[in-house]
Order: sequence, then C-alpha cells, then structure tokens
Amino acid sequence: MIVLTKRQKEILTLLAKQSDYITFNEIAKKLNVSNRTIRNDMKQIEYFLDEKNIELIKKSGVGVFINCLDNTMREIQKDIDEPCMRILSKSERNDLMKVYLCLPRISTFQELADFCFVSKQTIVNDFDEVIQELGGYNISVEKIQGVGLRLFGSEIDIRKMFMQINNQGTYQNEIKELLTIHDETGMLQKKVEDIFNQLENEYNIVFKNRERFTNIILFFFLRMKHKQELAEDFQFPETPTHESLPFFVSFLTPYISNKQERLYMSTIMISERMSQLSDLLHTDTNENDEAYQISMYLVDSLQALQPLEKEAVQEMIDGLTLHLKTAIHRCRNNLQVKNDLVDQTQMMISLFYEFTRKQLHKIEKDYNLAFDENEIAYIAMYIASIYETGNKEQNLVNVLLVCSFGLATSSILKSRLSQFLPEICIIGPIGEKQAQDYIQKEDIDLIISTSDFEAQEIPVIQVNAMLNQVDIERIKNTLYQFSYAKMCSSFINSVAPAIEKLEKHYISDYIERSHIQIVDRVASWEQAIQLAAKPLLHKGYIEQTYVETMIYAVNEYGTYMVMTPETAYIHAGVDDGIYQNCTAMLVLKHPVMFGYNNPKLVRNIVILGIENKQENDLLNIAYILEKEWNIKQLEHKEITKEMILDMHD
Amino acid sequence: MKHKIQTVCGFGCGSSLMLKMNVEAIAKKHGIEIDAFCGDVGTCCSNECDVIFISKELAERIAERTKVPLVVFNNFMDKKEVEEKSLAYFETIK
Repeated sequence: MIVLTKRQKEILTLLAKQSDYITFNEIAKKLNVSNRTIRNDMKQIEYFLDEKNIELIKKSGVGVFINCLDNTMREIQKDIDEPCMRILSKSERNDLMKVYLCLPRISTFQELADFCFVSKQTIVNDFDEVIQELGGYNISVEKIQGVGLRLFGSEIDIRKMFMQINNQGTYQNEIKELLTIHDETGMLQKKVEDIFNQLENEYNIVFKNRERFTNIILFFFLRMKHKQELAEDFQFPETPTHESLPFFVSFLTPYISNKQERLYMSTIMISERMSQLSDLLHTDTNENDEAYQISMYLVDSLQALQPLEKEAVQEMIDGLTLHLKTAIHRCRNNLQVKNDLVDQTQMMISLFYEFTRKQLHKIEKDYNLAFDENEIAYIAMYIASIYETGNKEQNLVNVLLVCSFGLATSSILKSRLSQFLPEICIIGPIGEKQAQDYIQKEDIDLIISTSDFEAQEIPVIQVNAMLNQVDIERIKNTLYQFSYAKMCSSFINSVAPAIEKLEKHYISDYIERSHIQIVDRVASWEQAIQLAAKPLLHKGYIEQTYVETMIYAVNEYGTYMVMTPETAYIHAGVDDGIYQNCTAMLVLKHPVMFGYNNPKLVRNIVILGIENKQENDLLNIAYILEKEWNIKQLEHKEITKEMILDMHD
Repeated sequence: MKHKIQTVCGFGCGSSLMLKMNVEAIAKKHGIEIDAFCGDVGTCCSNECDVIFISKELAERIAERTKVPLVVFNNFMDKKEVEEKSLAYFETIK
C-alpha cells in the first residue's frame, strides 16, 4: 500500500475538490512550493490512485484532473483523513494505553504495542508506570495469566478517566479510530449519530466539540453493550440538579433503557459546551438562580470600579450567566474542561484574570464552588468583553487629522475614516502648523497625515488622501494596540486602589488550626502565655527561653502589646530562641488581668513568633482582630476554632 | 534629607513594626516623606535618628538617656491617636 506524505495528502485533497483541470503551477502556488516538488509528489499520488483503480487524467498544457464518481471520491477523502502514523512520546503512549484498557474487553500487551506503534517489550517496560497512573483514578489492573489484562475499578472512575484523556483533545483521532473498530457492526455509531442529529434538527442544540463528544457517548454505549453499566442503585456523588436535566433525561429515554445511565449521560451533556441551550433554560432573570446571582455579583463589582452602560452589555451579561450555569454544573460534578486559552488569557488579559479570580474566590465558599484556572479564564474573557464594550467612550482613541491639501480632499478623507473606523474620535483636519500647536496642548493618541508630518512622542501614520485598503489596515492595527493599552490603563487606574482593599485576609491565612486553643480560664497571665506558646514549643519552632523572654517583656516593658481591645500580641526578639516565623492564639472565655505595669484585661493572646524582621505579613492578624465584628465574636460564649479561622478584615 | 523616625518596642521586630507601618501610612496619606525604622528598647538610644516613637511604659525607661525628642503612644494600633500625634509631630518639623 502506498503511504502518502502530509503534503501529498494536501495535494490530493486539492485535486479532489477540483471540478476542472488544474495545472502543476497552480498547485505549486497554492501550497507554496516549487513546481518541481509537485511534479515529484504527483508520481506518488498517481501510484496511490492506481492502486484504487482511479484514473488521473493528465493533459499537456491543461493540467490534471481526477476522473471518478463522487462516492469514490469520498472514499479517497476518508483515506486522506486517516491520521498519519504518529511518533508518540512516553506519556502519550501511557495515556493511549489507559484508553485502550478502558475498552470493555480483555486486552493483551501485544494489542497495546500495536496500538501505540512500539514493541511489546516497550509496553511491558512502561506498564508499571501505567499501573501507577491508573491508581490515581482508583483503578487497578487485573492480569489474567495466559489471557490478558483487564481493568478493575468502579464504572464511574473508568468513565471519568476516559473522559479526561479524551477531553485533552490530543488523541481525539486515535480514540475515534479505536472506538470505531470495536463497534463492529457500526450500530452504536449510528445511534450516536441519531442522537446528535435529533438534538440538532428538532431542538437546535449543537455541541461545540461534537467530534470529541461523540467519542464519549460512543464509549459509554460500548461499555453498556458489554454490560459494564452503572448499577441501578448507583449513588451520584451529588444529586444532579439542573433546569434542563429533565429535558435530556426524557430525550434519551428511547436510546438508553438504564435509568441511571440516562441520568448520567444527561449530566455529561449539560456540562458540554453547546449552543442554543438558552431556549431550554429560559434564562429570564430568576433571582434565586446561582448563576444569575454570581453573574450579577461580578458585573456589580466591575461596575463599582467603572460605571458601565448596562443596556449596551446586557446581551453579554446574559451570555455570562448562561456560561456560569454550565460552569457551576461542571464544577459541582467534578467535570474538567480544558481551556486552550488559559495561558493566553493569563497573559493577554492578566488584569481581568486576576480580578475575576479574586472576586470569585471571595464567594466560592458561600456557593460551595471551586473554579479551576480553566473555568476562571473563560469567565475572565466574558468580564473583559463586558468591560470593553460597556466602557467604550472612555477608551476612544483621539486621532488628529493633519492635511496639507485643500478642504475638499481632507473632508473626504475624514468621512471615509469615520465610516471605516467608527471607534475613533477624529479631530481636524487642520494644517501642519496648527497641528504642532494643537498637540502641545491637547491629548492626542495618533496622528493621521497626508504629508510627511512629524511629531515627537506621538505616532504618525501617513496615508493616501483617498485612503486605500492598505492604509485602513495599518490604522486598524495601530488602533487595536492603542485601545487595548488604553483600556488596560483605565482598568488599572480604577482597579489598582480597589484591589488592595478588595483583598480579604483571613485568620486561617496566618494561624494554623492546631495552634489555636480555646480555654475557659487561666490562673494567671503568665500561665496564659505559656499555654498559648505550647503548640509552637512542641513543634520546636521556639525554645523555652523564647517563652520566658515574652513573659519577662510584659513584666519589664509594660502592656503596650495589648494593641487591639482585649488582645495582646506578644513576641520576643529574633535571637531569643526562635527558628521560624510562627503564630499561635489562645482565647479565654474568661479574660485575665494582664501584666503588672499598667495592667489590662486580656481575653486573647496572640503569639507573633517573628524570626525574620522583614516579614511583616503576620501583623495583618492585628488588622483583622481589630474589626468590631470580630471582637464581638471573640466574646461569644460558644466561640469555635472555625469561627476564629474564618475571621477576616 | 528625609526625616528619620525610629519606632521602638521591646525587641524591635513586632509591635514597633506595626507602629512603623501605621506611621508610614499616615505620612503617605498626607504626602510627607519620612524614613522610618524599628528599634528595640535596649539599643534605640544609640541608633541615629531624628525622633523616637515609643510606648508610654518604654518611654519612661529611656527618657533620661535619649538625645532626641520622644513621641509617646498609649496604643500603637489606635489609628486616631497615631494619626493625631504623628501629624502634630510632622507640624513641628515643617
């Protein structure tokens, strides 16, 4: 069998699309290679077609043409689409092995070797690692002597692992091929096809990653066919709730008889990105809806920084709400998505990413959610576009039009500019001399000139007075950079002071749970300090001398360390027997008189073990505990460690 | 030449740091440039500075030895007290 190179396949694809003769020169031009190369490649292609009894007609001076029926052509196309043989890295092989083992059958080392294009010995060598990786999913491998290998684990874990590897997107084609081969009759593939078609035709639901998702559904069906099903009494980790769940469950009824499987597949479908979900979800502002609440919260915090024209961005806010719905669903059901743009998002719109991350972090606890960076990146993109659109006027780029020609020409130029580039604010046209004065006084971002006008510090784009396409493209490129820079700086200006304030500090950030003690009462303040320091002493962070020095300090220096109401912040020096920064806290239900010199009533003892003078982070504890609401809580008779850890500024 | 302020507590690493941060924040808020650093009660008199910010009890210990003026605080974390006394002091050096 003739194997074609990537380029030869491209040529063949090109030929297959032609309805008429095409010359070698034309092909060479399209693929950006020499005529000679095409000529060589064509020989190979001709052999390839020969094998399939397809005629390649060559006419001197006219070109080449494939002469065959449409369905034969489709056959060819299928061959072309077949993935080229890949050289796989070790980790890729391991992933593919895991996928292969997921098949509801007994596999052999030889099969794994064939599937990964390596020798059986390599597979055997790598297999310990695969077993370890499987262990990460709570799955083990059963080796049946003389027969082969079989996975051993819960159905849900096996499916989760399959989905995770499939959703990376790297092995989509390999997995598709594998599943297709094992669906011998093609019945399951047809079933999956039917499901997608019905969803698309009758309900207008289109999955964004249909190919990838097809693999998942097909895989589920394969498992089910071999009786690898979810048990009828299978317990979902969390009862799935989603408004469109009933729809999918009833939709799937004709296709799947197992009730639990239906429910499971529905939850997976909901978590996929799809269009037209909105019709099913009737996203009317339902205020009890979590997604709606979070969306409003994000928009409001954005609004607090910068007034937005809400009407202008309403559609985007709806989009955000809708997105959050599926994101929350994914989060709750531990379904991970991979966002290829994470790195880019973090870099390109880092400010928005940070903003989104911080805002979400503050409410995650309340909603019992934890968004990973993939999800945050998606949400950040919505936030950035809402900000950008809602804030347009602020970011208008000021363009000065400088023209040495007559008024008539320059007005044409001006009207063309505003027609093609509505997002700019055009000033002028004015003459060169006036322009120099003007830019001294006013804030101009860019100068567009018909002459070779020069300005210091402000970029000038010289254009043809009639404004041709090239000019427009050049201006657009420059503008894009400008408006982004402008948007960023206005965002920084509004956010920077706020972000510092926005950042909440929790006691749990500074004091370990095991270092907090709550006791009813103590006999003396000295005992209180000793007790408070005990966990640190026990762990070897400080020595007994450190404790004694602290007590000495209160005796000698007085009680200035009682800095917030009823709370003493005690420490000794960096040379008094301390090995690392550490903190501890003791809360007394009955306060004690503290110190002899200017004694004060003290309820809370905070040990600030400061080993490194530069480290002043620990002092935030005082800023948290000085808050009135926290002081009140500390007085509470039923105070718990959780309440203390959760205190924030 | 920036004004050098030494904040002092028993060991020069905890409470004095808090006072230093609070004073710096106030100076920044009012656009006054200062150079603040922490000291401990034992060695503060030999550190070169223009003024010492210190607690009441510790002030009594060093009052006789120091050559620079003292600004005395009851509570390092009392924002109102720290602001009032710091500003009053900044007034005198204008």
